[in-house]
Amino acid sequence: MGILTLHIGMDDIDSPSGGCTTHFASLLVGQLEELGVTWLDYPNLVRLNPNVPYRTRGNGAVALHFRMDMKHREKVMDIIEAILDSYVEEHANTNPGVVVLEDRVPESVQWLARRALWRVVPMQLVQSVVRCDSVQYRTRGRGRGIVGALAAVGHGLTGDYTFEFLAYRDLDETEEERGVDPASVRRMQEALGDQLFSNIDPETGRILIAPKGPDPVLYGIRGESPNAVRAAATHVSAGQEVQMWIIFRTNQGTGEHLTHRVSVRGLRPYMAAVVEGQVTSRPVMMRGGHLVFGIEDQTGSIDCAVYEPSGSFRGLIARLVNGDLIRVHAGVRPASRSHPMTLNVEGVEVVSLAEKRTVTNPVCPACGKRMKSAGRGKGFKCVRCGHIERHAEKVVVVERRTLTPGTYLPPPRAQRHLTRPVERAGRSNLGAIFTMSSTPDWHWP
Amino acid sequence: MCEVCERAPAEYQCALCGAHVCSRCLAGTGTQLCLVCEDTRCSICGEYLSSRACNICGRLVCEDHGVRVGEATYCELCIAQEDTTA
Ligand SMILES: [Zn+2]
Ligand SMILES: [Zn+2]
Ligand SMILES: [Zn+2]
Ligand SMILES: [Zn+2]
Ligand SMILES: [Zn+2]
Repeated sequence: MGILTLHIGMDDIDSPSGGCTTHFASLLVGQLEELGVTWLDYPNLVRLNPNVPYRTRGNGAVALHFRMDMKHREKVMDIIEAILDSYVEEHANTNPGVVVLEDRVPESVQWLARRALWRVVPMQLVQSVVRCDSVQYRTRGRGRGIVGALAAVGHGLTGDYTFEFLAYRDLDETEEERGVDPASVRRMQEALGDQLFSNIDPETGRILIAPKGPDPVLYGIRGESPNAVRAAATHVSAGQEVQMWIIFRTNQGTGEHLTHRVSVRGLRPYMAAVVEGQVTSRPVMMRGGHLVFGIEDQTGSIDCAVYEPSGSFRGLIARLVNGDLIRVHAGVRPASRSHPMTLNVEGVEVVSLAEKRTVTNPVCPACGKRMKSAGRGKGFKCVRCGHIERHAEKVVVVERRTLTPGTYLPPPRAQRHLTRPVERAGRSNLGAIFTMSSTPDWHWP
Repeated sequence: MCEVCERAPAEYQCALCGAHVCSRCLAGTGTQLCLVCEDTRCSICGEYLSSRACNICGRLVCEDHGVRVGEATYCELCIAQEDTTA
């Protein structure tokens, strides 16, 4: 019997009431191992365009790449169906999609993966790929998940990448407190330093490894290598028991959704784009606590919005003035009845600063008080000592700017999974080879 | 080039998002919408693009036809149903 190379993609197995694609994948890993498969890579956790409206939380899809004996070919789909059914039974309103591809991943699927990182891929287009390349798939509900499932398989994590250690709790205990001990997470951070990222919010000291919802994830540790995240996990203590853990290779923290520079005219709803332009209306605080400012390039102008939880980032952005040249890292929010199409700001690169000028009346040469206008063309008059300056002019003062050129991001707690955090600036694992054997245990049980 | 499939020359412009698309990427509803807008329109008004999916029924809704409660979104229809059953 021959050997078969298989790629399984899955997405949208999350639901608001719990469940999650990575958990499903972890169960699948366990069952596939019983068939004696040979893994070609760590499970891939591929984060896709965070701006699509039907995303479930982080919009993360998973792909498994492995080889196995041809004789088990039929069993794979049976295993998938069985786990899928037990999952969907428990969670209404989930639209899971699972795809299975053999041998080489077709170019059409790779195209779809590149596309799904920063655009919306319509279902009809995905269906034509599925038909043309005779992809085997299973869906439940609306089946939206097939888009991410295919994209995850097509992605392959061929650019920069990172790792995440995910620990799960019992599915019957997802309503209970996780009880992750913050002190243990700080000890973890101290021990592993720059081998980890985005696990603690430096601004608030808040622990970011434990999610909030009722999902099966107990905690997730993000880092640069499988050994680092594996070692990090030994420091963490939680109130709930770890029932299963697994290490994913992922595009989290790589910023790869924001690699397209788009002109204002080229912007489309839901796009993840970098837009360079000049500030044309300075930031104004709106009701609800968000900040809105306008930018313009040669093709048009658009509003940009910075949302409430962005904390000190919002304070920095508030210092922008008209004429500043910036690159906005953004998700495009479609127009509604109450606002035009707007850029949801995920980060700002300040390229160059304009001079901030203020124009004031001159100071009285006799007593030093600022003078008042004496009327049109009549110069200035001092209200304190009565001195009159017929030929004085307004004074232009160039203010010192407190903002400097550079890249500004919201704090980690407000970042997307894909956002390249400050700790990862200029860093890349591209070219680093982590073979499966370099971390003998990458999942448990 | 078509902005949706990047495979065929663009012949039409979407009436909602302005994308230039090929004939295959124009939704077949006589509305001059591209496939992306057809997929992402508010399922209640159809007039605006949706901002989120309803956490209860999964319908896509625009900012006017869904209510945001923290991280969650609830559509108008589910809220109405909740009111009658409550
Ligand atoms: Zn004076
Ligand atoms: Zn097209
Ligand atoms: Zn459109
Ligand atoms: Zn609507
Ligand atoms: Zn609903």
